[in-house]
Amino acid sequence: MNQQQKPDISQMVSPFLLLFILHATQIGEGILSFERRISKVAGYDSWISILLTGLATATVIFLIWRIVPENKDLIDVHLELFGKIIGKIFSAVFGLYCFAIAIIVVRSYIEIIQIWLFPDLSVSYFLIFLYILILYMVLGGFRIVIGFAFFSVFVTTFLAIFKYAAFSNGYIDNLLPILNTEIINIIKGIEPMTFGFLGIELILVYAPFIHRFKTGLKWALLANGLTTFVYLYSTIAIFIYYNIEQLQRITWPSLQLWKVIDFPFVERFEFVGISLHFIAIIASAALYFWAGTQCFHRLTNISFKKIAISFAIIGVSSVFYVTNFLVIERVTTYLSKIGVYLLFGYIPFLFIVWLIITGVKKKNA
Amino acid sequence: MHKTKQLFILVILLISLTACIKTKIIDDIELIMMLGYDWNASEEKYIGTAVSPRYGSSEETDMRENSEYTAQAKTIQNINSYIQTKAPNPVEIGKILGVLFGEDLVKHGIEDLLLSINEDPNIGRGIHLAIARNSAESLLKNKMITERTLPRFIENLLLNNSKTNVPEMNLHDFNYRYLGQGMDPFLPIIESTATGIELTALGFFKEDKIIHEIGYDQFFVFKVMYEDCKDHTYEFDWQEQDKSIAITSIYSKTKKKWDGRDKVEIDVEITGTLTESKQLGIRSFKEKDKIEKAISDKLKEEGKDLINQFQELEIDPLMIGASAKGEFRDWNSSDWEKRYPEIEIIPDIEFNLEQSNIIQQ
Repeated sequence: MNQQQKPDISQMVSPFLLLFILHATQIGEGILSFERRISKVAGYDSWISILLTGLATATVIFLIWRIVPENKDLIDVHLELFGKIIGKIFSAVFGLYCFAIAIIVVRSYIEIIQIWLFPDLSVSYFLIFLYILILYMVLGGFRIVIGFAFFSVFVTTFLAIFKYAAFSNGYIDNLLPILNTEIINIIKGIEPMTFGFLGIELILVYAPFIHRFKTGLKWALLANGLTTFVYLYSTIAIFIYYNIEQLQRITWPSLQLWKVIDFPFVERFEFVGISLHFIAIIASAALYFWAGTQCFHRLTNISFKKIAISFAIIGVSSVFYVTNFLVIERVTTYLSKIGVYLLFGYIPFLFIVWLIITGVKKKNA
Repeated sequence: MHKTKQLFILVILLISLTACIKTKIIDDIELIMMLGYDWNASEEKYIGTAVSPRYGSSEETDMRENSEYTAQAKTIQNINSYIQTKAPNPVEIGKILGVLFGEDLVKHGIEDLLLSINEDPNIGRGIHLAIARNSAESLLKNKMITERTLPRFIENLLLNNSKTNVPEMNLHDFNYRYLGQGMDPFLPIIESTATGIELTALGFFKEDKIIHEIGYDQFFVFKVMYEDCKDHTYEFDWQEQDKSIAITSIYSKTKKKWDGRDKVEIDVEITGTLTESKQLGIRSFKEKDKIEKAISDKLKEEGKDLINQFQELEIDPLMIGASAKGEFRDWNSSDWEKRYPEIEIIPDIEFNLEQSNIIQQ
């Protein structure tokens, strides 16, 4: 084991920060559009899917705490469970997945800016500056990334408050009668919803950076609960404000909801909303980017800086391969599918393998 | 060495972060305040009229002046860019206050137009919509002298009336009723008369076409059945005593009560003050009950008439279908549309007199 790759105490953060880290990674670009995706499957009852997803992800968090021992991360676990070659391949795939999410989150946020604020924005130019910012954070170390995540939580909570407009103009009748959708559809609603809860898998990578990791479980569960609450509140606001037929035609329901809020000094609130959301997007993209870099750094022994810069270049050049909105929509769908399998397929699978292997080892001992 | 490197990066960033995006300076843009659309049936094109205030460079410039631009095209965006050929400055529609539809257009159907308006991220959802009697173009080119500009005048007219006489209907509300199941939208109709611009009627839509109108005398009963309201005036013709009395400061609460699948009661409770009593003099509880009952009966009758008209036309502006949807599990829209004309809708309007006025009789 290369000991240099392991963090020392000066790089660690205290376990209660897990609340902020996890919440910041979970709430990203998805919160602007997830209502449309889940209501397509489960109609007005899809708020129940959110609760179910919250429960399911809490279970996954629980499993992660069983799998990962103190001071070890996913790469160690892979090595231990699958051996050198297969373990490394798995870790590499996980790293690539992290980068893919980071790239698509940044790119889809730029799409929003292009559509709502500046139609003549140059994507490549903007990407360059975004990745400089991300590189600055990532190269500054885990603590800088966490600093951003910390602020991101306040921003998203602040923005969520502004969904109050729905409650004063909406129709609570829309939610009734409860449970009018078939149960199977409500369960199917978990799949599109999981994209909003992704971020849990990153714990596997940054676990050794959490001081006294084992005591952090309650903070992680609390973060997951907070996320569930924010999503639930947001969905109910959107559902009583729009009817399903209308909702299916709206790409970003939250942004359209903000359109009706106006203050004497801000004619249209969505401009404030989009701009503030930047912090949330950057925080979650940077955490994914950091996790991807850390994965490859641990695997290959190439310096952290070199990996980060080369992936930033790949990220900037996404302007060539993520060319239009259809690609973004499709990649998001695929990634959210992969995310579902990762959370609800791969992590339980890891757990089972871990159970078997530790069982066998105990017997041999 | 390290310091110079940092300084170098800083300078590069300062130079390159100068927002290279089209600037929009408020003095140099044509700020459209109101849009009007008409339908040209012979050419199958929309006629768009845009009004922007002409802000002068000196303080003495008359702020009531407007510039109007008209253009014809098949799409909304093209109308905007066509208008650009007539306007000296870049046209911006971000600050739009309202959209008017001409009478020909609402008879032809506004679906395409409405959906195109919805696709434009620059347009807010809180803007006012209204129907213009005859054509929107002639109304917006009205040279009436107002305290403020004409678009501001129309906006205030619609805004204040939406608090007192007619229910509020902004772009979001209209979309909600247009796209949703078990409800139909309606819009106020404004008219250019010899003396000014007036809100004269309320037009009801079936799908995207206007099908029915009610005048001022039916506003009150529609509004109390449609939503909770406050601060209204109702004039009551008491035929028994041959007197017309007025009730003000009305506030009302409405609720729909389902009694089985085919019977619904619209429960309305109105409270008001008698302000123009024409020496009616209410001194006993009996007299108070009598007048309350007379007003309630009259309102019930008017309400029933209105509902019957809606049911005959198969339109549902009172959102009874949406209420049924929340009430019954197996609600579906095609079955509902078949049953709607036969459903028994009872307006149960109850009037309470709470106060008399400052004069003793």
